[in-house]
Amino acid sequence: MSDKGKLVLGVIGADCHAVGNKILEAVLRDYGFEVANLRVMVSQQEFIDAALETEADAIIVSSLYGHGEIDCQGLRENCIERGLEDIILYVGGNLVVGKTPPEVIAAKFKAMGFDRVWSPDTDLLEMCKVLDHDIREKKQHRQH
Amino acid sequence: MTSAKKNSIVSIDIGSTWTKGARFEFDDAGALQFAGQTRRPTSVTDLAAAFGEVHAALGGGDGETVFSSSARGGLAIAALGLVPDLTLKVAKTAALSAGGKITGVYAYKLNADDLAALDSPKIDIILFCGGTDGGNESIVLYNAEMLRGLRSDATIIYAGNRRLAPQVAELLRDRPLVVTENLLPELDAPRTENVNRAIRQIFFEKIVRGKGLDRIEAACRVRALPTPAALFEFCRLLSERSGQSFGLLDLGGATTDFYSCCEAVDPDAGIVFKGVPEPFAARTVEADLGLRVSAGTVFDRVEDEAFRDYIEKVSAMPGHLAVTPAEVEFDRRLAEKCCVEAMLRHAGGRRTFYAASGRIEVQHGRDLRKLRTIIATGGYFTGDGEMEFARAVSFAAALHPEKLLPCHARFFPDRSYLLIHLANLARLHPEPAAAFALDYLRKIVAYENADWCV
Repeated sequence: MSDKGKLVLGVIGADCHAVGNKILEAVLRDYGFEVANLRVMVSQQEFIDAALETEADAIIVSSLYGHGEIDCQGLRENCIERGLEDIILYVGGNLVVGKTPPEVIAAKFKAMGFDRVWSPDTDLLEMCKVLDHDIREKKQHRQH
Repeated sequence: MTSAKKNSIVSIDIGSTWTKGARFEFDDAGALQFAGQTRRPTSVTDLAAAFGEVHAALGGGDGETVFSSSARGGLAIAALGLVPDLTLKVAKTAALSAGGKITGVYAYKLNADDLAALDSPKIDIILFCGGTDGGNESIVLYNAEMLRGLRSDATIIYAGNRRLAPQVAELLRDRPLVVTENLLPELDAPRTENVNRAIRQIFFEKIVRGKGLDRIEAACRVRALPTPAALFEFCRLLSERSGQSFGLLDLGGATTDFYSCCEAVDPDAGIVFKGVPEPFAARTVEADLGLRVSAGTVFDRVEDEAFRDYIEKVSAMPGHLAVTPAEVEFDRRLAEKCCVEAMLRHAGGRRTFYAASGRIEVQHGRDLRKLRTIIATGGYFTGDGEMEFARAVSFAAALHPEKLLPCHARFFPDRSYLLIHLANLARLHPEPAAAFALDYLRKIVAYENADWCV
């Protein structure tokens, strides 16, 4: 078993873009995370069910088709409702339609309760490092 | 088959009401021939009594004997999981496919009321799951602590997070406990075989050994199975031998069971399957659908007063047989509703989504559309109980267009009530039993030459 942490991964809503999801899974596993990949068209409930059952440290949400904002609304609240108060939530992809500046998008999703928001040009290895750091920090925080 | 084969074999099924037996003989070609059947009322206090009478009446002493039992209403299992759609769902599937009857399901943390319900002498097994391997620990441990408070002698099967197995074994060391591998080690890889084996072992210890049947069993070459488990295995065997997908309906007084052996997901492109992967063979049991004890819960509302009175009567008198043409018609209505409803609940569904990338179909549960054969067994189909099955299924399909129903299945009633015996025989002689069953079913349809069963 890895000490890097456990993740639940999936593409949210009615989005069935499968390729990026496979790449993400490969990179995250390669880095040493334990990944439960729910693949495409994943509902909020499925993310939370899987996180509960696997005792995941983080939920990694992708959205590629532009409806991410609607699909992601309430995820943090639903996590709290079901006992996952301090789970790490990441989101990334083409989160909105049109030319919105990345910082505006990030602010919007952070307000929804996401810990980190990633744009399509993210270096995945960089993201892995940040995620690793975030998980360690949360674990330390929990021990104190 | 084997050269050491004896030339006769007796199968006995111990039910809650009747102990039924049938004798078969092998002809020179090694094929099975039916050689008679009989039945005696089951005595709750001495299961071996009726067994002995049936066995003797069939001349069972000179050949092999195989038996199954659903006495006392079968093996009562309570299922505990963490998330309802994940570990709890797999726990239910495992309990049913091992031939159990589910008395209750419990998700997340147990409370005092749950524990009181679990502490019932009527529960034989508590199937305790939760957490993938390396997954949730806190809730599973909490529940293990709670289960220490049980006083009943139900056996606990722990099939949860592997990491906790030693701790759970330590916590529950004073109770009957079996620890198996995790039912759901990873979210997309359910593993039910070990739990299945554990349940059958407990069935043997609690029902067979505890009820004086072990003396009988000592003379048998294979262990007794719960009746539904025997049927389940047989359904799978028929499917393997015939290369076809098979369904089986068992319509009883108290429950209606549906078994299916088929690829649950059509490998068509463009389908997104949701949920824990479906096994090739599955069983569901509907405890609110039945012709007698459960007749009162089959319909939500009955307008016809005479029908309502009949339902009340048969619920109170489960031994009643339809006499008048009106009663025969009432039974037919009940039977049709039970079968169709059980099938609807067994079948999965598909919904179409229109997304940015086009039309997407999302499937939940089992796709039964390619089932070609459905065998119907149970007292109702013995004699001339009728059912316009094809019409009933197409009607249901029209009402529930999202459901993946077996619209093209042929329907075979088990007229001589032989299926359970063939299922028992199949455990020793799979090929002759499967050949006999396929031939028998074919003959029924040919003989009746009736379009209602096609």
